[in-house]
Amino acid sequence: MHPFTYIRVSDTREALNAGRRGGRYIAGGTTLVDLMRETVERPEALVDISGLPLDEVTVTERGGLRIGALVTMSEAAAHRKVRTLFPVISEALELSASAQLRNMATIGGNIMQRTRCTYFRDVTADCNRREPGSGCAALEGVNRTHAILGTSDACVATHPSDVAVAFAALEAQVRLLGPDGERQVPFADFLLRPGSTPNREQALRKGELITAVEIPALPRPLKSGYLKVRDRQSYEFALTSAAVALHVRGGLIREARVAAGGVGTVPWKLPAVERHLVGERPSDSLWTAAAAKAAEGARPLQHNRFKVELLQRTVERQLRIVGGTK
Amino acid sequence: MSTELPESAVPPTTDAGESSSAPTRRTFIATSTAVGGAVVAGGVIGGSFLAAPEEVAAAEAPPSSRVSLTVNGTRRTVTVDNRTSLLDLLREHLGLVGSKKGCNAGACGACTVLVDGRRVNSCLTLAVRLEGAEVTTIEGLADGDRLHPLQQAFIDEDAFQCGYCTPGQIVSGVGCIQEGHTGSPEEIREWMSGNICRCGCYVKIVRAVEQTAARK
Amino acid sequence: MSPQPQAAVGAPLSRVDGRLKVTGKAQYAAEFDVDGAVHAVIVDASIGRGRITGIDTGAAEAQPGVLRVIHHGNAPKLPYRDNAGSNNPPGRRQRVFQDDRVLFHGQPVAVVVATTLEAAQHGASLVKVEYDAERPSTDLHDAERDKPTNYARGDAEAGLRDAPVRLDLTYQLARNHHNPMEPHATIARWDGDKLTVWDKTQWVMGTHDELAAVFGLPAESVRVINPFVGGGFGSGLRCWPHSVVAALAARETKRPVKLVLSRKQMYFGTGFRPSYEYRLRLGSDGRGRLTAAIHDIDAETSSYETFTESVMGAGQMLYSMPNVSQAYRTVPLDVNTPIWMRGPGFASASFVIESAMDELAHKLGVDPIELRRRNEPNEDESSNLPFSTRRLRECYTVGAREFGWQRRSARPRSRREGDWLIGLGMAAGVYDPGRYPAQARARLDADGTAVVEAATSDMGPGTYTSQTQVAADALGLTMRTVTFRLGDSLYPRTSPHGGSATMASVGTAVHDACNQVRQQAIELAVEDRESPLYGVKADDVVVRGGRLHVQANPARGETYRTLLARNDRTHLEAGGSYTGPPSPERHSYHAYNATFAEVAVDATLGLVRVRRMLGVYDAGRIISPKLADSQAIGGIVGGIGTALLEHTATDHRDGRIVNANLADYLVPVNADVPEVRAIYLDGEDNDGNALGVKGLGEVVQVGVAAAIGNAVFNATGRRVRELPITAEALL
Repeated sequence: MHPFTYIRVSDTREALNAGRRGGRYIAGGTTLVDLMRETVERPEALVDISGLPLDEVTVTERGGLRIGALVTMSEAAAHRKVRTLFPVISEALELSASAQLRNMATIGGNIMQRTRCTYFRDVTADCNRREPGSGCAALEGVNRTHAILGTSDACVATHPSDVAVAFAALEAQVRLLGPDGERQVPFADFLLRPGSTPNREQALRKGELITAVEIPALPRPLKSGYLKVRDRQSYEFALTSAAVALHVRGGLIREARVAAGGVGTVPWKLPAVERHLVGERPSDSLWTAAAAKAAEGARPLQHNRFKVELLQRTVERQLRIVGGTK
Repeated sequence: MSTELPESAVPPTTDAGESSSAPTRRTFIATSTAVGGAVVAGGVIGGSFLAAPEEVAAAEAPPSSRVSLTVNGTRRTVTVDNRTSLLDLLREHLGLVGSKKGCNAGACGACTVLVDGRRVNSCLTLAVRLEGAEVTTIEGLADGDRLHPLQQAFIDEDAFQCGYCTPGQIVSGVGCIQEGHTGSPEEIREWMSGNICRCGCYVKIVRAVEQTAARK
Repeated sequence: MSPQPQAAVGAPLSRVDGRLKVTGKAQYAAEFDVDGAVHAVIVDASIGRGRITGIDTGAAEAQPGVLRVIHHGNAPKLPYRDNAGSNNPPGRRQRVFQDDRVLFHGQPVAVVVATTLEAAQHGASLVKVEYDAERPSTDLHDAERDKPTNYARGDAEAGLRDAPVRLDLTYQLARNHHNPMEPHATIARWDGDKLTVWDKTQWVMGTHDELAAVFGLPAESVRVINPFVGGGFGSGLRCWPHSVVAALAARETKRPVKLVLSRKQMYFGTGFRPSYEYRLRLGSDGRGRLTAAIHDIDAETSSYETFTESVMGAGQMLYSMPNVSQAYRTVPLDVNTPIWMRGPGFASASFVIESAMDELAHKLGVDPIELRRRNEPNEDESSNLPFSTRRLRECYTVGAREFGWQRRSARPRSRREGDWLIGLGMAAGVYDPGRYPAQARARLDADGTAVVEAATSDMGPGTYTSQTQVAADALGLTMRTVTFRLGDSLYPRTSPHGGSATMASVGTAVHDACNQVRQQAIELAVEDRESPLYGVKADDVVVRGGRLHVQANPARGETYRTLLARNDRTHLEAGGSYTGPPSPERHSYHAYNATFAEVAVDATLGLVRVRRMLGVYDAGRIISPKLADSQAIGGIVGGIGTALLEHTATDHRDGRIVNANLADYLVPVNADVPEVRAIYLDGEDNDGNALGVKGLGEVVQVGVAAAIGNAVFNATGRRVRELPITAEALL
């Protein structure tokens, strides 16, 4: 680990001040400390923001949710409002990592997680995300766990978060605070696809701080849930996953929110699946037909071809779990 | 060193049990390397912390900070290299080797300790961030010679073999019980999955946690 | 000698070191507080093969706290004497920092020594190494094979040709890493030319001998200490290069040095269970009686050492058949050298043989247990020796009854619960337990307590406890009054703590030493006019709870304390030994099991989840039932890993292991292991060891993967001949 200076800030003004000068924010630290130890991350200064008052979960005026950036994963998962309004968020969180890590990691940090791509994490390997222009060792390497969607010739790494898949599905907004004030970025625009600049991962400006993730209200009743598919029963990143939220009224699906994880370079929203569902009557055949669209545009690699089929089946399964069967 | 004070029962007063005046040899090694170095006090915003990074490189010692934390009921004030994890602070500087390093990456749970009552991976916790924190390790669970019920249950159920993951399992189990995730064996299995046991003692670990939770 | 009453042996006791382990006070190798110790971190080669052309240590050395960077350019030449009797395989062992060659990705190329761990780690990341890299050869399927080791009886080609039923199956077995929870670690300290190391090892004498050989030291100049081993499963069976690095660094810096491998370094700094390609051709008659088997076995080894293991044994003797031929070829690759891993050889071969038996049973419409019964041999057909004990039939019977085997449908894919397909499978297991020479020393003190010592280890099975049980009964003492010590090369020499040999070998030596001490006491008493036992025949005296008495008249006797005090004896002492199995061998001595699995396979997602497992063991006498139960359950859990999760993945372009960590190399977690049960058949095996044991640590993992694979077939109708069995094979 490279040496760094450390400061603790107690209000957002101090934080922004430090962030503006290039300090690296640290909250739960579960990703950052790990990657610093691998020397993938080499911040010169850590700005400890854990003392900032960004640790509340609140219901917004219209019935949405605002989850403070510093709410831990375990707090968010256990929060009564999260559990009742958006079970998909609780489920995604509780299927992530381990109880210990969820006690440390925060919501803001979770969506800032960096990829688990083995070549990214190994500083002796070629990786455009870590070292632009060095190449992508995963393209022709061992790539069973890599992405099939949103990839580019520069990078095929997945985004590892589970809850970010739920946020993507629910069309969350990321609230940011920077030197120029507050702004809000749609989740879909916050995490960037690699394109030719995989080193740019988030739509963050220098020194900007995530203050909250906001989930917009959805019509009720709303059923939602998260399915995670992985080799091991627990404590593993997803091979595939699906976050689904459905609003069914009068026997018809009026609103559908669907996204997939483990398959995209970013949490992968599935608008084609959603469009196929809206206005239809829930049925097994509908789930199958809608899920068939989940892998549209997939570009599998040598070892992850199975993810195309697995993704469709994962989405189909989760549509059935949330939407029920006849 | 006192390990008899259960951290929740007797809140340590500021200086009671202060141990920095009598550092262990390991602590001494750590502090002596900081002499002459740029010691950045935690909580104080260094006006020039990034102004001249080359100064850091040229310094005689890496950036360090002074931290006061409570470990198993004993207040400790130590000067740590900013890079030092809580796990390394415990093992290399405070002589508390009960918390284990299995992966040093948050992937095995052997390093599990309680920080302010919550189970965390001490390998991913920078010690410098623990100003004012209360840390409980495996060494702090027993009440004198009387084992914590979960420790006794581990012995009774033979819930370990090599013993290396055991401190982390037990501390994690204490956390699991406190959190109330012991409603069924299945729930315990899931909520104890952050602690790998390569000897494969899981079924007995679940039994030990289940019995201890039921006794509460 | 009168048979001693058995109080401790066979009793379900808790671990004697349990309290130390649950309080965090058990000290593992890296946890000794050695005065003035500094830290060392190894720099690993980042190419898979080639030469080092330059090393720039300037940035590292400029770091505060960094004391020295040692590499091939500045390291002293080390004697590296031959070390006969070691576990070093044939070949030329890796010699640390002795030349510019890189033999595999991750090989140590330098070591940074610093006053703090942080400085050493940072320093290691700053060492710049330049290479002349070549493309390594790391693919088992794409490399030259060595000449085979062969076995043959009968005419297997003809037997197969004439067989009415034939199978031709090829299996791929992934490389597995032991991944004990405790990383390998060494603390080395020189006092003049005497070297003391605290080293994680399953064999303190092995590390002792190797360090003496490498540094050219007389045996008495090296001491190795390791009272607690945080798991091994075989990874500690030889002295690895990092232990040499630590000792070298300590000598060069004149400071005690602590070196702990990172989890990543465990993947190339210690050995592994080699990957295999295993083709099995099997012939049988119409009723399933085997007529011929041809085994073509390819296994990886390193370019510099030829590692082999007992992968041929099971194919020669598990089932009766007239014609067998085997060709076992090692394939030298640019990788580090493998080492035995739990159930070595047998676990790998059993996946193949027991999966094939299941295929044969299905093909013939015969119940898999019945098929195995039809092929039960009357003697060991590889040696023509009678079995000492072989109670495999009983394992099947008990297992079938306890597991509810009759509920299994012979037709695959016939049981479904929601999205899950449910299947049952079983497999037989066999292991050839080791019996190696061992010595022990017992001392009975005047206060009536005893200390027993042997240079063995306890990597988790409970050596401390079970040897105390043996010693307590032989001495006629309570468990509390006996202390068993291990893990120090100053203690009497033993062979490696592995191969299921410890109880048969060390236990017998302990038993012998303690018997001698007891006998000394008895003789002292019966010849002592002042003893109530004076004049009694020594053979009629037993000792119980520290008190000697006439067997038929418990009132007549006295305690050890009284006896020793009256005779002014501070202690009685004796050395015991075990010389190994009878030679020539009179019996075929093996441990057996029948393992049963019930799995659920998600019909559409392809996920396999174990629901319950049972192992039934014929392992001879069980000294410590509570601990043996844990060991068996642990072996099954290890087998679940091999079956469904574990796979060391290598990028063949540069030989890099891409999942060298515990997040990507998957081992079972708690949620993967619902219900596991172990049953040991009562009984003993008296072939050549006084305790009647057969050893159980290895056999418990043999057959597990096959039982799971067979259950997957029963659930799905899909036969997966590649380990691990993952979702993509079942979609």
